[in-house]
Amino acid sequence: MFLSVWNYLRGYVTIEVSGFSVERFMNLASHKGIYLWDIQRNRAKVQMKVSIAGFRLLKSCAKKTRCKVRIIEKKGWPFILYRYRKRKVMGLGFLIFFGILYILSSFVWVVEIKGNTRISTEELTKALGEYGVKPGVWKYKINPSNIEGLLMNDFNDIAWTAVDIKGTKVTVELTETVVKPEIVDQTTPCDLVAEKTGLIVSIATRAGTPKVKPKDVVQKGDLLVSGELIVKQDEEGTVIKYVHADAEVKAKTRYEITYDQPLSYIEKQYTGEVKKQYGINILDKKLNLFKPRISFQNYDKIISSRQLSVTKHFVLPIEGIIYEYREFIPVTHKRTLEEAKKLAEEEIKKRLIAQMDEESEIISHDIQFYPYEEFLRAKAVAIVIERIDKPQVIDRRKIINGTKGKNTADTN
Amino acid sequence: MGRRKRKNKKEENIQPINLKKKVTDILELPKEVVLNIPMISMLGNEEMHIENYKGILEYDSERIKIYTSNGVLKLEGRGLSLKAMTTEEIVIKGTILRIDFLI
Repeated sequence: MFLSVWNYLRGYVTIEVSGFSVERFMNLASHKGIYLWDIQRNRAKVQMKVSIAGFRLLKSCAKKTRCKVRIIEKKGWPFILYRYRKRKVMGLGFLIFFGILYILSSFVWVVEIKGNTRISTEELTKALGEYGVKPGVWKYKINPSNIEGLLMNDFNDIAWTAVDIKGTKVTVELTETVVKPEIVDQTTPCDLVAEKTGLIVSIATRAGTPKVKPKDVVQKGDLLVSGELIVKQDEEGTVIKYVHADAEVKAKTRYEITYDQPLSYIEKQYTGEVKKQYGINILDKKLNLFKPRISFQNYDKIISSRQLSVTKHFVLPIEGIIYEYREFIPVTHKRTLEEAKKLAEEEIKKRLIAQMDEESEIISHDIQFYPYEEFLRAKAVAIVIERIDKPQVIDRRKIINGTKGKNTADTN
Repeated sequence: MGRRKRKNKKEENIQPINLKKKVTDILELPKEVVLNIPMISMLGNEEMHIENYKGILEYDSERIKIYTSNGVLKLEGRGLSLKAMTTEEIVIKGTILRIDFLI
């Protein structure tokens, strides 16, 4: 197979030799070093294939053996070139084509960012743009390890990053650091204050002096557990130790949520009429073609786009966009009171749970419904038992004054 | 007396060829290179490679005669064609029915 490809590249001729001593002719040819192949006999004539170079030498052999040589077929690249020898501009066009292809694929057309959850993609795109990684730059100017270093430096949240240039796509993969849970420094002395207003239900103190007891009503900001520990109190004076107060203070708090549930809703009934518009997005410039006259009064506009790419890696900055306009008739439906009440209740529950954390319990909830214009207004009051303690750092000056110069900020 | 002279001449001619053969045998050199003998390989009866030939005497679709340093090799068959031909090697394709060595 490769031999035939090789022969095709060099060019060969199929000839027919007729005469008296064809065998002598063949012997002479092979003695001269000419390679003959695919030799077949056709009654008195012999057909064979010979390379172009060899064919020229055959003439003298034919003369010597008095054989007639006739060309049947010419095959090969040199013949094609000869046929187009006048069309030099076409050859130039070929070269220009390949040149442009190579040059265009040496630019970056797409920058893809993967793996970011906390850091926004726009931020990263902007930062990458500043480093010189954006669509339209020369591919070979970008040094991946440089970019990796710059990214790691500028963003504290990135634990690992890999920058890879494949074809015309730059893929930036990153893994973010695991967020450290907020640990309040256990050595800092602090009090616990109330985060919300409520009625204390239980208090379990692990460190510090409790200042409230169950059934007390506290306002937001009241001191719950003090970080001052009185160690000794006698005639000499009081010795106070300052600790990081730690306790679980649970209280009944009240949540009020109001929600207006619309009584009627609009259902989209699609008539089935669809009009399409096509557009191209090249390098962020939008070009819309063929905009049909949209006679619909109400319609849904669905935009679907596809980015062109030669292979998976050679992505072009050309996006094909299809705008679909689907007509629909808005039909107003009225909800029954029961439906509306149910929906309102669900929505309120959802909102309530969003505001609470895991340890809290809902003791009771009460929803009042009353109609308000076209809506059903639901007012919900929920009583929740939850933790309300919040650490507050003790003022440093208090500590130093209290211990009369001795710094006894202690850890437990 | 004349007969003895002729016999001596014959013996002298044969001796150098026999000596060469013996040397290549003992040293295990490739014989087709040293002695110019043709090397024939066959693939069933469909294909035949002949290395080290001197020329083609006759070529027909049913008969091929090849001249070698050893003598004439005659092939009979059907649809015989020469797949390739160079100075040293010749490849015959087709249905070979009979091989004759005419030495």
